[in-house]
Amino acid sequence: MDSQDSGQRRGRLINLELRNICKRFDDQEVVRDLSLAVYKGELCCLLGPSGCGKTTTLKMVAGLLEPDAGAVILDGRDITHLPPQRRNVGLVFQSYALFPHMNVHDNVAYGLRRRKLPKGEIETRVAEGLGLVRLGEYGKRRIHELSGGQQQRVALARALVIEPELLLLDEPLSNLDARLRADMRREIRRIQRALNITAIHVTHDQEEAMSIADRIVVMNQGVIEQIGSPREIYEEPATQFVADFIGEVNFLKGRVAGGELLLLGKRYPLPADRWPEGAALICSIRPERVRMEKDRPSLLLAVVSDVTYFGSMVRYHVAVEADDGGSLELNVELPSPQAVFAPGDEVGLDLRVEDMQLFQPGE
Amino acid sequence: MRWGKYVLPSIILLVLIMFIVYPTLTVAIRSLTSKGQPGLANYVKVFTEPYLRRLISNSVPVSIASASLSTLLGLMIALVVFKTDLPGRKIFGFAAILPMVIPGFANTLAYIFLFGRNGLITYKWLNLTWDVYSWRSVLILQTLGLSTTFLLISSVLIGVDSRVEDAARNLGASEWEVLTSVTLPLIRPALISAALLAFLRSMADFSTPYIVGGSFNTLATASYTQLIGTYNMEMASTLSMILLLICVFVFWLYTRAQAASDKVRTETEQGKPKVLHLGRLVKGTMWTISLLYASIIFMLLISVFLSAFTKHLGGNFALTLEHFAILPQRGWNSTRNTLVFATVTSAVVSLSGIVVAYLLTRVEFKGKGVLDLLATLPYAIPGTFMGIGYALTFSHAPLVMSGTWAIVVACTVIRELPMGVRAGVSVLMQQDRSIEDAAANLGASKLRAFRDIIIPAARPALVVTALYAFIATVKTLGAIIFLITPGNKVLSADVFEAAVRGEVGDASAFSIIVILVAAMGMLVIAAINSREAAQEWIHKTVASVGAD
Repeated sequence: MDSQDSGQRRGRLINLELRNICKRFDDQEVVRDLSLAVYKGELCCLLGPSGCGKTTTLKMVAGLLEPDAGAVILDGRDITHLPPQRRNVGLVFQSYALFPHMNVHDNVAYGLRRRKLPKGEIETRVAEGLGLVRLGEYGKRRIHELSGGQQQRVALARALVIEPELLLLDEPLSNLDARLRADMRREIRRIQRALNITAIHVTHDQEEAMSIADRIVVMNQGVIEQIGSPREIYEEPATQFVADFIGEVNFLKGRVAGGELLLLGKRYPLPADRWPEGAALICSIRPERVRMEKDRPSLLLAVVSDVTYFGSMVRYHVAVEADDGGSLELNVELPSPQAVFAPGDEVGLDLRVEDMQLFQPGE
Repeated sequence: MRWGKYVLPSIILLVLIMFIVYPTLTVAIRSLTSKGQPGLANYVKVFTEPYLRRLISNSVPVSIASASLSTLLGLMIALVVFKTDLPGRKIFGFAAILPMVIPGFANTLAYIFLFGRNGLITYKWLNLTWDVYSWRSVLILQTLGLSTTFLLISSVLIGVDSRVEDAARNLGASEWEVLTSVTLPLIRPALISAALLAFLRSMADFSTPYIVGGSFNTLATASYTQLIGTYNMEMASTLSMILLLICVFVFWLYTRAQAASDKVRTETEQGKPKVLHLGRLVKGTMWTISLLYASIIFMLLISVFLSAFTKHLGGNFALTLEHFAILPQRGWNSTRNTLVFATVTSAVVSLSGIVVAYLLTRVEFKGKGVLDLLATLPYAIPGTFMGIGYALTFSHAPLVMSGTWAIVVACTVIRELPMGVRAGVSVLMQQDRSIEDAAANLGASKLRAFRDIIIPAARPALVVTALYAFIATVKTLGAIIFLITPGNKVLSADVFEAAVRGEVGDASAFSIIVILVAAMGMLVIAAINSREAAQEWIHKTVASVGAD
């Protein structure tokens, strides 16, 4: 587990810090000893499957849940036990949680009124907020007259006009259809950059996280598996879980023998003596990193069993002989023009150790 | 197909016309006849004679006051029970539901023991003398009987999405502001419909003002005295018509408010109810008032028991069973009748409720709007109106039923039918229709699909309906008091008569039997399907319980 930062952001101001946060519900540890620093102006994604503790973590930042142990530090101030009312942290709910008995304007003005701002300033800021999310003309509308995307924008405006020190987004796009989701994603990113506001975005959708985040925090079962840029998370997964969770991947079982990697009957050089002799290894390799050629008997022999055409690329299912004599399926993706294989074709697979991530089982 | 499209709707419509429209018209015609001459003479009299005019100016303000007070008190208790973590909140909730099971007249009796002229508390302990027989007591008792109000408000309060409250917190609202700017506005439609329902209940209430009102007469009690006392059927009909018109108008307002309050509900895991951390003063005040309420309710219940088992409550506390001696003398018939009527009513109401609901939600036929209206209307019809209507209508051809058990059961079935239909409709609306389509696709007939799919899905609702209809029948008084003869006596009428005669010990003994029968019915039916029923009980049907 690598909870240290990748280095490129060192020296930047920390906006939010979570120190050794723990939270349990009944008998279940939902968040375990979680530590995280979020820097000023970045968009940080908490990514993980449902039940991994990401929303619980977000709620503890908002003050809607109190951690059992650990501290929440916002701009150097310990807010662990501060009630939600006094945090000045903007939260966009998955369900939007708009006030159904108020119109759009009053929803956006709500937080400003609680802050007892002068009337004129409230009007100016509501107008600005609605302008920012391009709903300038919608102030008088009732909530149920709006589409899902518009409700989403109102929720965003409502969270932003209070000028929060931190913007929290809890699966904000999960109730939208695919096309709208992509639009809103760009919209959120545009606004976040324009205001230069620090944001924590919770999602279970890896594509969403990859496309929007400066940094991704991958969580699983209440702990952080990896923190890194989208590229790092994809290219250099720190754990088997991350490799599996992000994108498509093939897992192959290998073994360290004589300082080399023994994989499916072939030997590959191992980069460093990081692995003890005889250790079992899990080798992960992305489908697009597998090279596949015809008539290369020196390569790993495989038979094409299925071909699926995806437009920009073609996915092959190929079968290779496993160590135990059985058959093993691999996913291979090739860009479309190279799609010259048919089911039943015998092919050679060129696996390279520099394209693989190696893990010890249970790591 | 034919069967469901023509025959069944026609039969049901005919029955409803016979037992709702026809008696209503009979009363209306009687009210428009004066000494054999058609005309508005009776109505003119009501608005010119001071004694009669006062009936309206008595009924309406007290009903408005008791509706407002019971809504306020019901809201307060509901907030304590479901929106705080204060100790004793479960007991308060239980106390608030109790009046639903205890017959109103039993409460009234107990109230007189405790707070009457020789009341245990007011006279013996506090040495106060006040005239217990007045509109104040009516107002107090009707306010205390806030069960339906409490449950209606609670069911919506539980449904408030806690994420919306969290959003307000996140935006800086204090807990008090969360309550006043989010929670309360969200349940406002429910508060309005609860108040309207309480108003209906109070307007239609016959036994409370009759026993404890003294010189305070209402439209409901006056129509009884006009009919039973002076045998003036025309004036009884006129007063009942005025009462009916007021109630139907208020009921119309209620259905509109109810439609708006259905929008609040969310029942997702994430939005489940959450406690409001209100300030000490607010919480303390609400808690104290709830405690006071619960204490009074339990005291009333205890004093019913005390007076039934002691020689003379307040004077002679010697334990005795002599009051129960009246049972073998007169009571066994009444007990048997009550059990039989309640059982038949609950069975008929739950089954016909689901059948009517099926017709309304699944079958297209002419006259559907009329059926819908007729199946809802009895909600709005005051019990005394129904009673007078039945007494006038079924004493002569074409259908003579006076003095039979059938007239009582017809009356109770019609009065509880809307509740059964409503419960059935809510189940069928939620039921995925493609399941029935699948059954049809696999070769099941409509009847078969009804038996195999609708009935099992509706089972919890059927149980709750049966439960409620049973208790309501055991408790009912206003409607059947006009229909009771020595041959079809029921317990509630016995208590009423004993109470009117001042035989409080005997009345209490009867009350205890009534409470036991009601409790027994509840246990038996609940045991059939306990958990589901209990959940349904709180969440759905109880929220749509009609006026008594």
